[in-house]
Amino acid sequence: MRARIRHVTRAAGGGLERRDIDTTRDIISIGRATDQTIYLADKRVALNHATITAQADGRFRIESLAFGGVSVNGKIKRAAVLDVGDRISIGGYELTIVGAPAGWDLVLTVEQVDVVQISTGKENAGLSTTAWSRRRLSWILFTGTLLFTLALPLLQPGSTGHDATTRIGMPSTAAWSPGPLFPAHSLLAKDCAACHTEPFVAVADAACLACHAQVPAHVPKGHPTTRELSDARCTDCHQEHKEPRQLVDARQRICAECHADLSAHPGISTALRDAADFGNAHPAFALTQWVPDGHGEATKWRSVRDPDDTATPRERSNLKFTHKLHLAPTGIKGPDGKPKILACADCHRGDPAGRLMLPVRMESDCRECHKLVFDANAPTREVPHGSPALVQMTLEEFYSRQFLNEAMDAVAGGKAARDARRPGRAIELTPAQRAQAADRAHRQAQTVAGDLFERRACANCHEIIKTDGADADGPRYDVEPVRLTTRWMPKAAFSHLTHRDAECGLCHRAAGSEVAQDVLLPTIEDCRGCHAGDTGLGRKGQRIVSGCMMCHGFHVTGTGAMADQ
Amino acid sequence: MQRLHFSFLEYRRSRFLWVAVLITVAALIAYARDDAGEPPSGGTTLGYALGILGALLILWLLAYGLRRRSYHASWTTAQGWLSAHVYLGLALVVIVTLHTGFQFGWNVHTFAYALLLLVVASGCWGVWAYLQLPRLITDARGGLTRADMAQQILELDRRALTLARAVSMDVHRWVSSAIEGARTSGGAWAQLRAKDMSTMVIDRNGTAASVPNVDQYTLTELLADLTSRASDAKLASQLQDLLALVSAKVTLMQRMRRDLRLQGLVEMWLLFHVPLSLALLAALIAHVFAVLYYW
Repeated sequence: MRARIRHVTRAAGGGLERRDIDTTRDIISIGRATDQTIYLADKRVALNHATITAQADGRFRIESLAFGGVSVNGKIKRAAVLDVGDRISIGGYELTIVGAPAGWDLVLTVEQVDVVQISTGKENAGLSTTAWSRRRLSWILFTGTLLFTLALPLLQPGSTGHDATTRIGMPSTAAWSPGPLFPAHSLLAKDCAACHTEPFVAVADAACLACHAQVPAHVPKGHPTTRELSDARCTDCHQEHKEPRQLVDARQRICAECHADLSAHPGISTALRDAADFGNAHPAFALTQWVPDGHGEATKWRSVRDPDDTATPRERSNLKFTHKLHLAPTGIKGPDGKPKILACADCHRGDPAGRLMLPVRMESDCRECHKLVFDANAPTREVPHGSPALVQMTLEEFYSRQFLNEAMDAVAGGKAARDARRPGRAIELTPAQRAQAADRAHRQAQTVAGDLFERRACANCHEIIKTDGADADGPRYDVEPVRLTTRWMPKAAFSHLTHRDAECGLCHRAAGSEVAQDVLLPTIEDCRGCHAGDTGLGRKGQRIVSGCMMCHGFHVTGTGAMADQ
Repeated sequence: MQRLHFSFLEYRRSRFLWVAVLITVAALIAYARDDAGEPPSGGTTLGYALGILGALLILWLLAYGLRRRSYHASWTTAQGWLSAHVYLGLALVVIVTLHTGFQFGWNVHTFAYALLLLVVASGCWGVWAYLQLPRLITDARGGLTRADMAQQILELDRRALTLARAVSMDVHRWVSSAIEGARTSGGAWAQLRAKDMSTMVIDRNGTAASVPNVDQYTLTELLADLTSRASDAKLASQLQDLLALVSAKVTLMQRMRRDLRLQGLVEMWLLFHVPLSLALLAALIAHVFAVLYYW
């Protein structure tokens, strides 16, 4: 069709201006898009708003392509047949059909009747109206965080976990672990359920005892105890997943809660005295030692805690000894007769772990000087360090041989003749001669024994019991048995190894001790010279911080296994 | 001289600052004096106490988002809520840091802590934005509201169209399409960068083409070209007037875009603060669940 589109502009003075655009297209398109036949610059107009086409009868038909339709003569219509004079309103524009002159099929005028509104930005102001919506971002982050921190780890439960999801880099319950495990427990690191047996339930003792069944308890089974103790759980003191790694809660308060005042717990029975802090609330050391009951062979040894209950306890080992003499600065007579200056380590040796000292032994620690010789003519012969009967038998044997030989020498005519006798030719002694030799030997043995037991070798160190015999056997000697205490404070742990840089004499004042009954252990005040309690602040100022756990443990050996309680 | 304006930071003589300081100092003293017998962490008695306090504070601070949407809420004024929100939010950092016992790792617990720090950091950005940007906005507006500016632009457009009608059909079409294509707003980036997205339609070889019209440059070029070729003194004078109108409009539009940019900056911190807060809520749920699940 041949159509003329006349754009009309009303000038300010009232005059009209026209601008014609002619077209021969079959379809006249109307819209805001720039490729439209009739371009309407108005936001209210759709990009492709409507079309005008010719009908078979020569009239024209407008069809709306936009949802809102078009207004034809003031009425909104989807489509309409147009006649001359019809006014079509689209947005701020008005299109009017005018009579077509000859040669033209359609003529219409286009006039902007409504001033376009500028996009002020008011309707599109602010970031919330853009794609960056706070609401949308919030939902994404909230659900995403829940998914990765909660849902995915939960998908694979504790014990067998860490496989399916971790293999593809997804978070597992490992992401819930607040810290590393103690190295000894590292085997369990991937098995949360080994300890956390039940969800939402605190770790139970049973989980610990499953492995640590033999750990000793605090008090024996059935022993009267306190509620605090019976309610205590392993995790009260043993915490995992902490950094720096620390498996034992060594707070003094835990011990002191009960031990500061044991009498406040009437249900329990104990010989322990109250203690709350080593620095200023700890009783003097109570020494446990072997105490003899009876004498000689009938002696029974009992381990007694604090038998004296005084500030100066006495040792009851039945041994005679003087440290003062042995440690004389000028020395003591050595095995070769010359003075020898002794050190502690010449006689005292530690156990292989370096903790306690081994008991002094005659054979290894004394005998080098204290030889048990009994006859000046036989300086290499010694009596055994054994029972008195054995000593006396040894002496009788020695002197019997000596006097029998003398008797035989008399018969044969001298020692040289006895040694040169022909084999098979015995030297015959008369019964009288033999009896005389035996009698002499017995008397000599008794004399020497009396000397050894009462004055020389034995009596140097041992308490001797002499029983006067009614018969010809003479007096009977007994030695009070000796038992040295090796662990004086069995309820406390001590290690010489950690104190090895200190001189022995710093704690053990042996140099001036004249009797074996002196207990040369340090007193609590000696220890307090370096150690104070939990705060490290003692009466003498700042000292080494020494809580209960430095010497004492909660799990006491000999109380039975925790698992049995 | 008596001040008429007090910022939310000084609400009721900074009442909530002192509340926050009190809570913080109490937490610090409790932490310093605590003797748990084990390294400090969220698992000690004090750790649990600080954790519960922190969690309650987080929930209360999140409730501020609900309070903002409610116009008939009670307890205190909106300004008071904001003041408490800011100060207690800052105190929360100390409380939760002490709750961690400085034990960090690659786990949900530290993740939640990191989110908390990000939320508080974005909040601090917000405080700065609320204290600084409104003044810049006031300066940028030069005493006009955005509606005033829009009204002025509209008036300039009316006058330009009337003038353009008197000049010629072509000029009227240019001016009309430049007005139609003028943009002061746009997407988020365009707003923050104050970028001019304006276009206009010109006749190019018989077809209409849409071209950029940054700062009405294309329109100005066309009008200036026409002016230089104008033989008629009246026409030249009309075109000069039109150019003056376009130039005035450019100034107004620039001012408007700057205003939008500043408002975008004011709003932008919330784009981080609010979504991160909700991520923190999710991480807090996971944190508490994980702790209780493997108690």
